[in-house]
Amino acid sequence: MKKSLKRLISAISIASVLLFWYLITDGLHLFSSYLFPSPVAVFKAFVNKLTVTVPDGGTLFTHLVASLQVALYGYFLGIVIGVPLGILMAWHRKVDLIVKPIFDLIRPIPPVGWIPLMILWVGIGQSAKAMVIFVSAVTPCIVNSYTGIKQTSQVHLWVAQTFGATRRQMLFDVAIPSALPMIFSGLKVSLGASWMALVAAEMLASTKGLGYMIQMNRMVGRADNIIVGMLMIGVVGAILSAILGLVEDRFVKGRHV
Amino acid sequence: MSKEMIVCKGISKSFPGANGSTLEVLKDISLSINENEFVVVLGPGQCGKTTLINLIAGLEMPTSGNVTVAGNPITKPNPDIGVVYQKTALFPWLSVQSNVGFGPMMKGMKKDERKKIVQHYIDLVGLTGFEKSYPIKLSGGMRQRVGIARAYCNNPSVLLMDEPFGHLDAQTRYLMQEEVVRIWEADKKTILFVTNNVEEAVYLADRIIVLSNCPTHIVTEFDVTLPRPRDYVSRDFLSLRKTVNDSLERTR
Amino acid sequence: MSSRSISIAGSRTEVVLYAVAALAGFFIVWQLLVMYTAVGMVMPSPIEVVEAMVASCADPIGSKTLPMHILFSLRRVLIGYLLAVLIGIPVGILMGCFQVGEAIIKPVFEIFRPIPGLAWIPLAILWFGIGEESKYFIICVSAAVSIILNTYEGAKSVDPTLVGAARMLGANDFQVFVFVTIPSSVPHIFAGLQVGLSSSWMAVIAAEMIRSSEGTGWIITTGMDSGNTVQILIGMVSIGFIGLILASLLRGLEKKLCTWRIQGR
Repeated sequence: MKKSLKRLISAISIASVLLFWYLITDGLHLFSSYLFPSPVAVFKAFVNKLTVTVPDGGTLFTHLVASLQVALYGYFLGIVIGVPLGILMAWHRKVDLIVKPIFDLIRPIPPVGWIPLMILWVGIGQSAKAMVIFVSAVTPCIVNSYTGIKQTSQVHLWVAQTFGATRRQMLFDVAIPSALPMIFSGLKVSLGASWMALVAAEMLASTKGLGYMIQMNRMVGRADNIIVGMLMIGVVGAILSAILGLVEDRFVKGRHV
Repeated sequence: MSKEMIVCKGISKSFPGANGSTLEVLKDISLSINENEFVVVLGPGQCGKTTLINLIAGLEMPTSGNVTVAGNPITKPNPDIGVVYQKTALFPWLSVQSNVGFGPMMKGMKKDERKKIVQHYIDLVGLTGFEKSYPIKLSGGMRQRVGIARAYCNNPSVLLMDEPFGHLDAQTRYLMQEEVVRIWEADKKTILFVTNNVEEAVYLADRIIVLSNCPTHIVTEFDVTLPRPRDYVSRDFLSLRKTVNDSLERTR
Repeated sequence: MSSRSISIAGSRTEVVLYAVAALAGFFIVWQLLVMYTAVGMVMPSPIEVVEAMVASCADPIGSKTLPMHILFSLRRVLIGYLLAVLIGIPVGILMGCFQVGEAIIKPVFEIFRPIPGLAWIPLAILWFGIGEESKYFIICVSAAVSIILNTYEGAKSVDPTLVGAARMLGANDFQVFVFVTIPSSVPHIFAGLQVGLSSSWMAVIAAEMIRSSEGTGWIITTGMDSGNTVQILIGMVSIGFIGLILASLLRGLEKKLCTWRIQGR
């Protein structure tokens, strides 16, 4: 099939979804606008939310900034601790033998499950949320760095050895570069998990942020604002992972022809 | 005079290349192969051998010219033509016997009916005892045997073999060459065998067709009349090998 | 030849020995910290947690015993997850196998994909109320995304030579689909099912934490509301444990269905 035809079908598809959405809401009034606002209403709510702080105490922008701050803070903490720990576990047998069982013990608990404990320990402020996001970000970082290093081709290591590389050089010049694609895919998974954890944490205990915004608007029954918030969460999540993709293209070489 | 099974008349094939140019892979190739003849197409590395196979198989259409097999023009894949691939293309999720029985199963043949034919061809290629194994557990040579049995089991009149032994180690390669001749003599088919190995060509072929580099055209042909089974180091074999070798284009 | 032997794996006994030592050390340090330091103010000791866990199998937390809470959560996951499987695999295949399907569904899917499943909670509650339906919905949405995505990638990444081989053996379009496309996507589909299961387990916890009157998520939040760390930890431990069991069940099923991928002897 031609690319142009495919694009046309895709455009028609999106347009018909919007049209359908409009039809069942404003067009035929099949649903109450309270439960299911029309696309027009959602767009109005979006414009409105840029300046108005009612009913959730902030504009879209202030919520967005609050969310981004916490999410990135927790995420980077996760990377800074997770990636080196994963590499260390894969490279040093003793560390692997000791840390892995403990890690495996804690790992199955989903990050959301940590929220109450974190809140009890450090309150409902930004640091509790950052901790929750850290927990969700750190796991994929560790797992992927670990497997990435473990999957280093033995032949590459032999080559390095025959050229007289020290163990340290073998780690930094062979194992880590060859694990980079894997590490980056861990960073991507981490990013998605952090963003998800952020929303959950903000819905449960917060006074600002996008998750808080959609939760508050549920309580006052403003579906239009909820959808604005959800789309915002989606769009920002997509932008963040696109940025990460660009970074990856800069750092990971030799994978594309 | 035996009848012509594969006839290619003036086939050319080009692909759209980078930034709007076209890449001509095959140029005006005409050949005809008789029933039960073993023809080897010999060509250097990057010439369009696989494309030629795909055109005869009906997996691709020529840009110009036409292909007929047993008198029928080829426009789509046809179970009357079997293909053995370089990378074997076995279905990894099927056992040896299911791979071999794939063609008959596609025709809707009943299981117990299938079983007999499948067993016959598994025995023919020497894989008795491995019926239930999965491809991942087989060696390269064994996988090629499965690929040959699978193609044979569909009872095609024409067999196309695309560098089937390219990935095998030298010892296994010699063994498989002997095997393919033995199987062909036990169950005659028209075979078009593609390779880049001169020795293999001389060992196997009734007739060798030598191809040039891109865009590929036919350089010359050799009839091989050495008696079978052939001896890799006999004087006649070696001198023919040298003649064929000299006809090949030298490229980097 | 092995490609993964940076640190040559120790003998099995060594691994087990170290694991036992590490875990014992972990629990002993935890116990000691609780007994002799300020950590005891915010954390119960492991012994307390285990005792309370055993007790809660008979004495209810809230209105139900611990096993009942777990069963409630499991029932929700099962229904929501099955729904996601029933929707996700066909949609993924539609997208991966048919270009028209891809052109129609993919752009719409791409809009929904980046929205985390949990972000649907407010809307779900508004639409379906605080009952079971909204939980099924959230679990289904959370799991469906990765199931669709992996099925799609699996169906797309079918080796073209295998398709060619099947065609040469006389398979028609439908047979290629049934005998080649589907089986070769199975490993991808399972990867999606695995991720989907853990997201749906996460989703049920979150949904229960935000609004419910029973379930493992509820145990944690009520523990938080009453400042009962023992109860929070009971919840966390059971969540981790059940998540582990679910994942290994699915892995067992995969092993059964994909024997052809195991090299072995």
